[in-house]
Amino acid sequence: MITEATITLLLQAIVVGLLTGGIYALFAVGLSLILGVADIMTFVHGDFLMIAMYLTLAAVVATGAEPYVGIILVVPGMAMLAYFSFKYLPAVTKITAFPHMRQMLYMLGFSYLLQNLILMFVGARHQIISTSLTKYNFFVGDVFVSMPRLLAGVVSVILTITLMWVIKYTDLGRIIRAASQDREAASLMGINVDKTYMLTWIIGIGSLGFAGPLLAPIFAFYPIVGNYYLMIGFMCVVMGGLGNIGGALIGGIIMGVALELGNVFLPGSSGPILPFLVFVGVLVFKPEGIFGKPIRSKR
Amino acid sequence: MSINSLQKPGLLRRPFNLPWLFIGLIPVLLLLPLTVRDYTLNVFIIILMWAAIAGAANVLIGYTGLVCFIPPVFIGLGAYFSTWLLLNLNVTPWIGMFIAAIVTTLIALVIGFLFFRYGVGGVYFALGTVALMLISQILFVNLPWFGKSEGLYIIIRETEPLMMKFRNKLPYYYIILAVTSIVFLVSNWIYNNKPGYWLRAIRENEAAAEAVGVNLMRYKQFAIAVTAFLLAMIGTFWANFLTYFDPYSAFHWEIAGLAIIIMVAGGAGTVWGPFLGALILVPMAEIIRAQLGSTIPGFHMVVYGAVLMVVLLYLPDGFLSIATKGKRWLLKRNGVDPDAVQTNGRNVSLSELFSYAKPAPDQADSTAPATDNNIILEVSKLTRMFGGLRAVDDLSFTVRRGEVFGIIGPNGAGKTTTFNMIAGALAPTEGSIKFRGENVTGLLPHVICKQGIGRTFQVTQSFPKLTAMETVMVGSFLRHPITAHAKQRALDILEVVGLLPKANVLTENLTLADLKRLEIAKALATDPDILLLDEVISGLTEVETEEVVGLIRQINKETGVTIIMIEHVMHVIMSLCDRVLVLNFGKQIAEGTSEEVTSDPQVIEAYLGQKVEFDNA
Amino acid sequence: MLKLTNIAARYGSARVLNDISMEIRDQETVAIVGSNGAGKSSLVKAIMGVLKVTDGEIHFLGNDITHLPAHTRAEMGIGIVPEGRRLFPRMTVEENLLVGGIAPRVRAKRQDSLEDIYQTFPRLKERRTQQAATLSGGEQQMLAIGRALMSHPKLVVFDEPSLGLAPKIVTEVFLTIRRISQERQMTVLLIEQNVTLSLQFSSRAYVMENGKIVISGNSQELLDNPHIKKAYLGM
Repeated sequence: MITEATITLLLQAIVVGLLTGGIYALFAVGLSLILGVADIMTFVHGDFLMIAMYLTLAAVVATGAEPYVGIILVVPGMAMLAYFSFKYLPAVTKITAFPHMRQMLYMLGFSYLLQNLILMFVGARHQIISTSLTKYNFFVGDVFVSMPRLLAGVVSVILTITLMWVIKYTDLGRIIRAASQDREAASLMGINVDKTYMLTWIIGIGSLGFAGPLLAPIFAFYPIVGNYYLMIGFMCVVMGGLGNIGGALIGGIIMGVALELGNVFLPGSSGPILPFLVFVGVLVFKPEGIFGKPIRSKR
Repeated sequence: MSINSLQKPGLLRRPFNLPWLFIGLIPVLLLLPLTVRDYTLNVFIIILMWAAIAGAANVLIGYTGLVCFIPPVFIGLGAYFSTWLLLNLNVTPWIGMFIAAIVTTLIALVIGFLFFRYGVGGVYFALGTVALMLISQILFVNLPWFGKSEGLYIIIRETEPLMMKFRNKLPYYYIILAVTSIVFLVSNWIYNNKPGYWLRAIRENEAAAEAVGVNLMRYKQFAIAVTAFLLAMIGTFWANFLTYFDPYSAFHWEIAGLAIIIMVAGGAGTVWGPFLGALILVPMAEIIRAQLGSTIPGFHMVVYGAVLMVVLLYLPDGFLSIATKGKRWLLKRNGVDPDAVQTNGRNVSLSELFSYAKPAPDQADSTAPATDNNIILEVSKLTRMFGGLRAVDDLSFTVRRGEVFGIIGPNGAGKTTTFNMIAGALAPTEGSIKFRGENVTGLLPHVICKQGIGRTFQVTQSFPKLTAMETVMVGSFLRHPITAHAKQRALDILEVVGLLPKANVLTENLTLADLKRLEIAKALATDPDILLLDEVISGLTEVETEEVVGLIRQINKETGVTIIMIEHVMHVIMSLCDRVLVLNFGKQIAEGTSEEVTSDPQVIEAYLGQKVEFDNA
Repeated sequence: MLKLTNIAARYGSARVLNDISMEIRDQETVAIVGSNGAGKSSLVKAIMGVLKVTDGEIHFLGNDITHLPAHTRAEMGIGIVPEGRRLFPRMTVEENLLVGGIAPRVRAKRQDSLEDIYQTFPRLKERRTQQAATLSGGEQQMLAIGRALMSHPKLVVFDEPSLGLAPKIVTEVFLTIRRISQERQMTVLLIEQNVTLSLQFSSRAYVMENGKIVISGNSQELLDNPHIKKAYLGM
């Protein structure tokens, strides 16, 4: 029987899902760029988000300001981190020449390293940052809307759309797309492909500088939280099709809504199973994603 | 390995290749625990357990190359199922171990079917297994019969050997020692026999493996089943040793990562690698945890992460490669060539090697009319579209048994596409292919190879990390499942193509000319009736060309194998081919003897190009 | 304008170029012919900087470019219409052209260059918003040529322009190449497996076999040379 309460729950789930999905999308978009364009099998994207969140904490502790103000510090911080890791970390540059598997394993090691390094310094305690924005939480009818989530969702979507616009309509975007579609042809046309990869890496990780402060007041974080986001991010990217930014956005929204629907309607805490099942389904039956080009070897 | 030792290829003797090291270790391993304290004994048990986990995962991840995060799933399922049987039906873990392993293996086969059937591999497969891990965790937290998030307890009040309950740690040591030994023996057997060679071939190059008869699906399923079974058994041990576990500790991200790190650091894809990795890394981690664990938590994991990175950068073949390189250095220092082949070759004739379903060579006569008896391949109205492009357009031709049939044409004429359809790598859009009268249209490449059509690839498709001999063995295993026979046949074929001195050289170190010969050898090893040669001459020098031409002629004359060859070098076509087919834009423009075809004006035009009419401005 | 001296290169363990020396002078059209595997594409890759040379030197406009990366050579003025076109498949006609003109040297006048290309190739203007992968073979070739011209190159390399095209289209393409090279007084390097066409459309030619240059000289003389027929048809 579909009661009014059920409808409210459904709406609630959809609203929250859309907002959460927007945030996932921001994470996934950076991931999609790095994976699809620079072809770097980055398993550390989640860990960089974790670092961004801790940086936000540091900023808040140091200045006492709202976490959102921290964006001013965290974004350049992440961009610099990206720049130096690309340039100096042994083989972030070298590994683009490795086969995918070796890259992935290397990044896996890097991930363990980062996670446990942070763990060593800040401990395993779950952190969350409080914000006075919760004062502005409101209701639309019976549906509860949390202000921090609303802000995070809206800003994420705006950023994602901005990124999409840049990729589609600016010269920078054209360079990035050309380098991803045909690396050799791009360098024959005068494009410095290595520099393009670095730029993509910086944009991808720099965008986490926005995501971190937006997410820190909503979800608790701890040193290995990166794995969770990474999984979701990968799922969004695969669902949307590799390198397809708009697809990652839609993938994020599907994941977010699936997660919330699962949380609401599935028993116990088995909510997250829904997006994972959707992911496995897409992977098995349509691995190129909902929007991507076929990647399976077709006979 | 001398020829004489091959006379008695008992299944137990040759395939194990058990080094004295293993046998010598046994008394040490049996007696060692009696001399140490409880804490050290615990460390030994942990080392052995990780060795077993890494060793079992090595079959799927190392041998077959399917890197993934599924080990905790199998370990967890084994633990949960056997413990459920114990707690609810009082089934002793000694039996529960096997029941749980069988159920887990069945689940693994379903998972494998879904992923492998649709060709999901590489990073996508890895990600899919992470999802499976998280799904398992969520399921077991929420399903009512497995203790939910509190997990399951096994209560030990007194020692009951029949229920695998011991108050003393020592028996657990012996149990895990036995399990680890079983893992080692299974892994060793697989490595030295047909499954190991075929799994490694899949890892190195799936397309090449398929082309020599490897059934990809079946062997991937084999790998995942073996890994699942062994890991589930280990899971049962783990449950009974720890006596407590929950979904978070069972399906833990770290288990998957550690299994990979230990395997890779030790030497992925080798027999000893995972065991060596566990032996070195686990004690190291324990020492770090003991010294610094209280002050700096998590440091041992930092070290693990750093180890993985360093190994991948500088020592991609793991610690074991240090031992291997050391051994080679020592041999070289003593003036011995470590790659030297021990045998001098048997000088066996080709016709002796090829007796599989073949008529006597003198039945090949291309001037005789094509009767049903001597047509070996019949291609009818073959068409292949790529989107709107007709790569092959309504092509029909027949090939007679025993002849050398050439296919020529400009770049993009559809020659390789035709080959791919005959060999099964592509399915035709329209048309049919009949081999020895039987319809083989659209069959998978490994089935077509088994039927008797072998092929080479235009760009040589090799197994980089296998030696030349191992490469040819992948092919010879198709008709000779016993390792010793497959090895002898491989050596004989290498001798015929002139690669015997390089039998122990890694394929990635061979020259182009050698690789071309190896392509032919690999295809020959499957004992084909038709050999498809795709531009074997390209890139060879004059001298090398003459040698290969001679080889092809020898193969055709001495064994009666029908040869269909794509070539651009015209004098080769002239000297070898009985009949030639000319393609252009996917269509046939001429067919006949090489003299007829090369004087055909249409052919001349297609190759040299049309003269263009234009005004000289 | 372009001078190669004793160039050698390898692909893995195979030697693909062996002691190649050749030159292209200002406003010449030079052709390189040879059958498959002769080393033509390796030579192009070496000139463009995609394949590392192990020996010898390459000079362009007097500068030693032997060890410069590909994108720098492109910026110095070597334009290429690659083998198989190598368009950016999911970018539109216009975007492909814009990328062609992205180098700082020519970016300022990019709008003008674009109009110019559209005038030369009206069919491209009709299809300016279409994705490159959806064009026909001939149109793709035109787009690849246009893209190369957008950077106002001093030397244009045409790598196998007839590949995969129907004979009628091939004629059209070659006539176009001749027309624009005359109008713009271009220096052209033409690599082609279609011997007759390449000799007809060039003033000088080099014939390659197995990574070496076996004959060179005036194209008209080579066209009447029986050795070519022998090399191709084994008569």
